[in-house]
Amino acid sequence: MANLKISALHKSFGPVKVLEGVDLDIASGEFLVLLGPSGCGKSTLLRIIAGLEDESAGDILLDGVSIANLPPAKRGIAMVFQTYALYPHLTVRGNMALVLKQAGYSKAEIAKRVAESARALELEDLLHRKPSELSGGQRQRVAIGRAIVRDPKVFLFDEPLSNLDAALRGQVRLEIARLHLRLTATMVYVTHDQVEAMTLADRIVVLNGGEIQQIGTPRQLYEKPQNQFVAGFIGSPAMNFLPLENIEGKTGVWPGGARQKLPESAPETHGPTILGVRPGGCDLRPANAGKLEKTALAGEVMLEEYLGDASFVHVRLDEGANVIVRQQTSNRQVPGTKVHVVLDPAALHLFDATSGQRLGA
Amino acid sequence: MAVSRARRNRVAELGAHVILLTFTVIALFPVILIVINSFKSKRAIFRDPVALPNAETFDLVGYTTVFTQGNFPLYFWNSLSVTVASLFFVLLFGAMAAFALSEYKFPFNRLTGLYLALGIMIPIRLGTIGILKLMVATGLVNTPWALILVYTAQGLPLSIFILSEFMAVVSKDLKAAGRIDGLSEYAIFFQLVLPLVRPALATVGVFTMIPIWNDLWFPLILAPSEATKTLTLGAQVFVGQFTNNWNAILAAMTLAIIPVIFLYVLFSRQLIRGLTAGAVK
Repeated sequence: MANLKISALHKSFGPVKVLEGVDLDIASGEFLVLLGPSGCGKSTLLRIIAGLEDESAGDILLDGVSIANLPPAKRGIAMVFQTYALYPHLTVRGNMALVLKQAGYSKAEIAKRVAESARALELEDLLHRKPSELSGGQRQRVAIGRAIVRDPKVFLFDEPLSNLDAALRGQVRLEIARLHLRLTATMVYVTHDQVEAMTLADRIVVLNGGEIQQIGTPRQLYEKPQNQFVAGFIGSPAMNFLPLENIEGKTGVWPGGARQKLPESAPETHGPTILGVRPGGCDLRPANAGKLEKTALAGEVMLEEYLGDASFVHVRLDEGANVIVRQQTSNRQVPGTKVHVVLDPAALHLFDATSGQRLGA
Repeated sequence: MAVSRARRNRVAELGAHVILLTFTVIALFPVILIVINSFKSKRAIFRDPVALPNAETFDLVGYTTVFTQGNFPLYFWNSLSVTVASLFFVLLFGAMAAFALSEYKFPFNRLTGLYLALGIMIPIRLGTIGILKLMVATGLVNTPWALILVYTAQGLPLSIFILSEFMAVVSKDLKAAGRIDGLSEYAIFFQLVLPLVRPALATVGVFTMIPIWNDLWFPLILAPSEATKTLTLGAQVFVGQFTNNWNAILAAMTLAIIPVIFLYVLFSRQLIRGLTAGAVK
């Protein structure tokens, strides 16, 4: 168990800046997820923590001691890779024992530790097999076993579930969550999958373009995204974004002049604003309910996606924007129907149209 | 429908086999001619070169000449030791250079790779005079090292070129895992990377071995002494200015094929995987 502190970390490959001043404080025993689209620098950050890449500037402190100049093996970290990266010429036992052998443990200690880890991950029956004789899920369990056998201060996971099929992914995800509960170790986990991030993380770091967009618990990120990028990235289907002309007296003004009631936290007045609302925060009304005309957004149903417990209705507004609305499945929508979209004021998020930053609390 | 398609496939298959067999016959014909004639008397060789040896024409005179005249077991050993040693150094240094080029970032990395690959296009024989001067100056003339060093230099460009391509596709994560587990760069190279590029090593091995085994030029210039003669050079004693001892030449050539076949079989399983790697994943 250890706390990890990253300060003012910069990384560039030639002229390309990958990380621009990343500061992170990871508490002891915390499960931190680095989340972002591909190319956002999250894997590079992890590889720098592991010592596989050199940082261009900045420092990494483990329990207050800089590890930035140590080779990977001396940093007290273990890493699990997307491609498992098992040693193909060694058995499962050999894979798990190698790091201990390198570190100079006695034979008895190695045997004991390998047996313990194997028991914890139910790998005992596979110890004599080669990686080529294992399924994908088993391979990733061995990779995790290889990481825990050394009892590291920090675990690093680099998209460990991305090569597994959907059913196994859920299973191994659960395994990692249980592992974290049992070991109470500090874990840093890179993924582009928000479901993994939301379910596993104590805190999530959303990265984009080499910069931290927001750090917070999954709940904070979902309920109070700090900017338009985070709002659009977290949640599936993505949040709908609609432009407002401005805000006057805590009320939004649509480009056509119609008014929109805003949440209590909205600013008194503001210039051009982006209004964000999740599919669950909108509802549909029949087009002929005349008095809605002023506040609602008129449009036409494009298609309905039936998911069993709910359905997502894609509506093309008359102004041209698309909105996705979550509906009860009993409320069937036929494509081509004229409808009105009404927005729940409490579910609205407001962002400045130019900076993308959140407005109000 | 299904039947006719099956039949069409069979016809196509037959056609492919006919073409392949024709090619095999053309390719093997001179080799077979050498082998069968090495077992015949001189008169029979000229009377009917394509006939198989029979009771009347069967004659081992070629082989007895080869083994009694000159020092053929020694020549044989010279060829073998020079080839195997050169092969070892080409593969070792080629793989190491390829690893460095594909794994480490340093200035002029690509340029260095291109420079090393340039040797594929420039025949080493153009530098013969320089090489000879160098060998004389270092006192290596008439030692096996003269040949081993030259053949290593000759084989490296292709070896580096092919191996660096293969090394580049070895999983980055695997090497990273090795580093995190505390393996040295040498351990990563020998234990993780080399076994994974074994098919490529076999391919390079075969392509490197054959020209070395067959070479006449450098043994003639750099190591013509009796003690260092190679098989190809040794067989030249049977080539006279006016008459050739065909029995002995053919017998020597037949014997020279054996080690190549042996090494090829050793490599072949890997080689076929190497040639088809990438084509079928």
